[in-house]
Amino acid sequence: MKHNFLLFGFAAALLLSGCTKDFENINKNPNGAQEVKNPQFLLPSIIKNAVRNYSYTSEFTASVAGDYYANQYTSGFDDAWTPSQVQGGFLWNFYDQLRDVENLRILSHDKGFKNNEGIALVLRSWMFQVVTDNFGDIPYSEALMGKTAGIFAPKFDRQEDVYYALIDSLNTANSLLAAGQDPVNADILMGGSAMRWRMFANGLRLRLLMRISGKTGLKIDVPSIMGTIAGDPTTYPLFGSYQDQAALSYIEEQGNEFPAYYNNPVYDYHLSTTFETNLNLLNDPRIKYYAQPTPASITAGTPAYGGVPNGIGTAESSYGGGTANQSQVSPVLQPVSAFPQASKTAAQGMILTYSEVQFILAEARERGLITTGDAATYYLNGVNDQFTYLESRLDVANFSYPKANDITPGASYFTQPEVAYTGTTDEKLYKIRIQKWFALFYNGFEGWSEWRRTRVPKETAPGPNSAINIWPLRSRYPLSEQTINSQNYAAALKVQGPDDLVTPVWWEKQ
Amino acid sequence: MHFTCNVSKQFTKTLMLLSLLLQGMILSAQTGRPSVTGIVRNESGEALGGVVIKADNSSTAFTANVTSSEKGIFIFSKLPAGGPYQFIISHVGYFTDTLSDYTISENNSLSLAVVMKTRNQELGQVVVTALGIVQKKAALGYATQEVKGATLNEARDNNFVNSLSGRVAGLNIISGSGVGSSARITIRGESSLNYQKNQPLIIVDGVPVGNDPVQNAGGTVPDYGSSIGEFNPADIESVNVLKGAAASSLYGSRAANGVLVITTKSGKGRKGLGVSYTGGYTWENPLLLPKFQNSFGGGQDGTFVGSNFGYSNNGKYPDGVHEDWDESWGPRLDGRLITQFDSPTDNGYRGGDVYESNRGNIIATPYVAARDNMKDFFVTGHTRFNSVALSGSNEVSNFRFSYTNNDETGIVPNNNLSRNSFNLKAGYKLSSKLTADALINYSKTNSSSRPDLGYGQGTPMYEFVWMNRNVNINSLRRYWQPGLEGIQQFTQDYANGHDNPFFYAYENPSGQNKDQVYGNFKLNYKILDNLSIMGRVGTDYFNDLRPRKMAYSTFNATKGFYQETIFKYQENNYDFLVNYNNNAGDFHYDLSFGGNTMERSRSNRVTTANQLLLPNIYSLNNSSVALQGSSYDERRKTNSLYAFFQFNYQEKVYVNITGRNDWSSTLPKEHNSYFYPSVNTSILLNKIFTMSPAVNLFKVRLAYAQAGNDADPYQIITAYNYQALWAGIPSLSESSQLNNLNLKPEKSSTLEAGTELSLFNSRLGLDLTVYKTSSKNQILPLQTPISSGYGARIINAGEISNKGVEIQLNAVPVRTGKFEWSVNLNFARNISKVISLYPGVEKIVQAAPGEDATIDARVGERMGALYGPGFQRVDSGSLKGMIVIGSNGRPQITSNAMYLGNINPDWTLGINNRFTYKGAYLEFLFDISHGGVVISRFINKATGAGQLIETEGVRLTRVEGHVYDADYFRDGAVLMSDGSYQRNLEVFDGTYSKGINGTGPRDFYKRYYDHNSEAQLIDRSFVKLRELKLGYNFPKTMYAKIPVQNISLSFVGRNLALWTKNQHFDPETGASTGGGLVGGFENLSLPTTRSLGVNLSVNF
Repeated sequence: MKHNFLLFGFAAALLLSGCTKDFENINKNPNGAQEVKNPQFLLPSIIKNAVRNYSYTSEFTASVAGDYYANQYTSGFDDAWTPSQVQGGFLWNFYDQLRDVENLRILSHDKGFKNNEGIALVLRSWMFQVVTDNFGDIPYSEALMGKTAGIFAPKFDRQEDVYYALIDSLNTANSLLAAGQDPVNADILMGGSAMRWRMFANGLRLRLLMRISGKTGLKIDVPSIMGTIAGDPTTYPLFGSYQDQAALSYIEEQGNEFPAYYNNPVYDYHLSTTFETNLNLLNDPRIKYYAQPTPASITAGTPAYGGVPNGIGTAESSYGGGTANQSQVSPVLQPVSAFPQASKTAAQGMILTYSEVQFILAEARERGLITTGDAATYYLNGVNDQFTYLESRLDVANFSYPKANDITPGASYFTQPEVAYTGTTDEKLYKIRIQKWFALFYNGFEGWSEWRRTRVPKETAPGPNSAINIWPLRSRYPLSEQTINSQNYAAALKVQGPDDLVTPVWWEKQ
Repeated sequence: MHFTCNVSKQFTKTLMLLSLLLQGMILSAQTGRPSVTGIVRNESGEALGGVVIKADNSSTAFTANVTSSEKGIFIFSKLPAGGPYQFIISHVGYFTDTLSDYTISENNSLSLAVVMKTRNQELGQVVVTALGIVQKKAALGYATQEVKGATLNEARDNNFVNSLSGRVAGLNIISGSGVGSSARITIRGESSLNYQKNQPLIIVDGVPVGNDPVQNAGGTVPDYGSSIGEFNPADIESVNVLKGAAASSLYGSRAANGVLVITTKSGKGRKGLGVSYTGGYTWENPLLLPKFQNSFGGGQDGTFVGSNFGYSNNGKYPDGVHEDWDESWGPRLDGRLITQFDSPTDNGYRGGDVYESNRGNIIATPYVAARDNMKDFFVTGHTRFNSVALSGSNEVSNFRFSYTNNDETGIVPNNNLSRNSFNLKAGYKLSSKLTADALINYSKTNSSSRPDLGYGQGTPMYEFVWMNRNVNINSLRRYWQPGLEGIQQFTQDYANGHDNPFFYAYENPSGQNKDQVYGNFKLNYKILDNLSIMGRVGTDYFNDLRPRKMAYSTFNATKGFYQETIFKYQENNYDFLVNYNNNAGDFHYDLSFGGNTMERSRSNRVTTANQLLLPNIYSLNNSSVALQGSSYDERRKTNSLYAFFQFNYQEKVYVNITGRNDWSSTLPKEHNSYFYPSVNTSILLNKIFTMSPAVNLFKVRLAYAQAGNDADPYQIITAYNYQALWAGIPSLSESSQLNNLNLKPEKSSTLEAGTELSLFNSRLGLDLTVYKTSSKNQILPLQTPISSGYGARIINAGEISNKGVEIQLNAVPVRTGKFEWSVNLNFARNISKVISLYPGVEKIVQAAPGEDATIDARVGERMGALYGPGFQRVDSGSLKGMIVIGSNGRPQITSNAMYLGNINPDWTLGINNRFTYKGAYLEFLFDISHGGVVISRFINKATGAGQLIETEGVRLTRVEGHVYDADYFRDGAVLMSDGSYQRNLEVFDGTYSKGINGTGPRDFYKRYYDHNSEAQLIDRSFVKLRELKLGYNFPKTMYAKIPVQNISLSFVGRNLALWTKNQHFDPETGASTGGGLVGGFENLSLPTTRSLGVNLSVNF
């Protein structure tokens, strides 16, 4: 009897210890997929996450950096610009979306899906361009290699090298997309059109080339590449109108609507005086699109607009007689909590527009970087299409005010000296650049980057409450790089200069 | 029938006992033999055999000893007449009793009845150790400490874990806020880099029960408590704290941070049917509220800001009405008449009824301070509990059944909780060899609302940060706008999204409906007298439904919101244990081996309606948008085999050796099996060497142990997470945490040495322990720069060492026949140090629930180090050490995180005094914690917003009307253009009105605190009067005629007084996060409460 019990005990022991067969099954994660074999399962979330992220900063940090809007916290150049804030505020977190882009690129490459690989390269180049423009030297050649190469502290590459690599990789993308036979599925940005992705790739390449076009001693021939693109639309197709451009349309679904739709009211953001001044100088009707009439003027029944200077701190709330005389952010960017008519879909996640590409070509032609086309035509294409585009968004919004025709310019708009393509080369360039700056509203940090390149608009300057005495030239690196990639961070500063807001990035340095 | 029978038997027995006692008291002189007879019983009325009774005639120096029989009877057949005699009654495990001043005459006999009291910290004490094995404390080679259930029940806390604070050396508690909230327990400091994995394992009658709080995802969610906090203290017999790995090595993986072994009450030893009732009522109020200023109201730079409370109703209500600026930098509260949100209008509405189109013109009212806003918001909390237990036993069976009803309301309006618990414990002797034991506990918890916590809209303390001093909170009690009930709230400020706190408390509740069952069934078969086998199955299960409602017009959910979250948890344990013991000469040995299979699963389901079709109907069907859902499921399994061998030599030297091997499902195949041993010894020096009779016990102990630990599930393969659909299109995104295919088990080892000393009939006891713990190969996510593509990767990292000392001192300075004063001291000091982390890694951020500061583990430093930005200071010259003031008049903040202090105390001390006089007792417990820092977000934000008292004095130094005209100058140093530093403040008269670089009053305060963690520090040291109890056990003579065994009544108080350096907050607080409580941060937690109450206990 007792032996039976002992035997039973030992048997139980053996049974227990032997029972590890089901362990692998038990430890299989039911909450996620263990691998992805098809590009279409990665592409939608990449686009959605990246563009929502981009749109969000476009309305807030970027709108102040570009001097479109005024906000006392951001334009003090301390609060929102501290290393603990910039990861999200200045899009260093694009690396988070780039992880999936890299997965898409490797997967497509391994499977020979040229179209999808090309798309991955375009998205990758766009995001890296945004990050390097904001920060300067960034991890690039060793970036995103945590899983593939075990690199958890990537070195920083010089911005110059990043630019060459991106310009090259966009060329590769264009070729891949021209040759690809694989279907582009679940493409929520370009509707599965490889052609539109090529247009995006080539336009983006022009943006990059233009940004470094003022540099001397480059290792690539910018005019030659720009000329090739502008001169060969078959090999290098470009957007034909806003309907081709890279802009994500949000949809009427919870979580997929315009990102700030469910925000709290944004009462502490106002139209900036710089934006107001330049729009009013041209009697530009788009001011109705870019901002809301002041509360006082609404009460009075005569819609009017009032800007606020950046960098005046808490004086902002009493500026111009108080908030009743200050214009709040664009009706298309209003959350429903502040504006009952707010739209979930009017604002798009703008990445690269037809207008911007036309303004690039206009400037390139005006400066003689390219020889094809006519600068005035490019310029007017850009201006006209921008109006048409914004009108189309107001049609979607269906506000009681403004309606699409409220922002339609009269013929005199184009003939006034500030708009007509006349004058000296410098004057023409200023007109191209100010129209481009308008068009870059709500397009990430592009307006700020263009100001850094061109100093247009000329009014952009720090206020008395700023922590620094010039308008910022870059963003500081995020705290995480300082603390957990510290050696490479320190090495980067040796090359680029101090990690502050007044060290220019490479393409701005002369 | 059976019970009735026993009751009457019991009744008779009680009477017999009473009569015996009465005889003892009267010490009746009778004629007959010249002898002394008596009976010895313990407190529960059981006869005690083997008790030594010594008779001592102090005038003749005559002594005699007898020993009591099995039935407790003792007889001195012949004692020489005379006296005075004293009788000294002593027995292992009991307090020695002395009866004095008896005279014995030839023809009188004396009859004595003695009731011996059990000793807590004594030689004969038995403790429940690993796997429910009862051992003599003397045999243990490691430190344990026991807290009796009575102690926990006398001064009940809504979470009994809080009652352990100050009572166990080395045990630290951080308490959450709100009724039914969780408590964070650590024993001997932090040994895991994973901040939330430092809590001990909790075992109830052999079954593990979780203390990991299970919280909803999101920012400012309530603290929903944890399973162990739901345990009914009235059912606890004892809590035994096994402190180190040595004590817990047999529990395996999960016990590396120590174990709380909870033994519940049983019916054993209770003859017949017993009924006991315990009930109580407690009132709770905030212990300490922040101090506000009452001189300046809402506005900016001395002027009113905004229009119409931030809502113009499409331009209908124009300028001229104030209050859409949520900071008190406005004009002096001088009683002038202004139009306010609660001012009446000429149409009979309130100013703030802005959605009413006929609101009318506002009639101005005085602009004055609302001094008691916070006090008026909080309400008195009430706790009522009633617990009834039935118990009984006979030769073959025993049982105890209890029912407890607990109703609580918190200090936040509408915060309430009710719990009903049923507990049944039974044992049955199926045959002379086979016994069965079962335990089942069911509890149902309902809460209509738990308050949201943290920094965000709607949490009570957040709204007070931004509530201007002139906003009268009592005006917010009618929280709907007229005619828009259920649709539009009434609040003071529509611009900045400040929900009316009453509206939020009543209309946006976070409810809970939780069912928990745990229990086990055990069979024990005695094959031989010295060979037995035990089998046991146990389970712990809960289902927790958490409905979350948000009404229309909530700023974060203008069209309402409804969410149902369901958490499920189940853990099953299957055990067997074979035990054999025998003697070999002077050696007694005990050999056991056993096995365990543990299966655990947890899941959650979240379904959300982000907008409601109709207001005020909270059903998932009432959604006007597509419902959103998410789910999470997790499973794990561990198999274990273990063996232990114990032997002792003449009960003088004890040696215990254990070994355990675990197989875990969460580790990769190659590393999923791991073994860990332990060895410890206990030597009773007083039995080996001849010592003064004053020494009752002198024991030394030494222990070494290892414990292994596995990973959380799913940390091997990196997953792609499912993303929300986009127009029906699915997609995946790879997790930002890179998992690890080569994970190894964690390993910790402990070396501890200690001594126990008991002197003077155990009136003085000392227990001293020193230990060193090392924990290696910890599994944790290591942050990586996101530029690598991943935010973190799972690694085996580092080594943490803990060194510490624990001292317990028990003394009975005074003991007379009727009066006794006893003192217990618990002292602990623990220093955890980071020895190494990972190649190339200097620091790991463990937690950061505040704004900028982080709790870092840094190589070479102590665990719990707080880092964050601080003041830039002058580093040389005559102004060395002064803070640097920038050109904008603000202190300059360091760009790199600096060391700010440690969140852990340097040492803790609990001092408990108990005075008893006859049936009355008075007990008070002081809890002292020294050292450490806490970051306070409330102080930071509310000072910056001009609400706290600190912002008043300086403003009052200025002439009225000119408060904001000129700059204020901080003391500090300014870097001049020539490179030298000059003192910024030039006149030191307290007005801060002359200097080099100045700034307005708002910046003067706000920029001093904001994003400057150093400025936000408060000292964590405190002294608390943790408990005060005054009780009385009514003498049986008062109710001799009714079948009641005892009645006791007590008045109790908890957290009655606090001494600490800052005037705003109890520094013993933690930040409530999704992962649990985090120490070192006050993140807008609710004030600690002080409670006063009364308890009644009756045993039939």
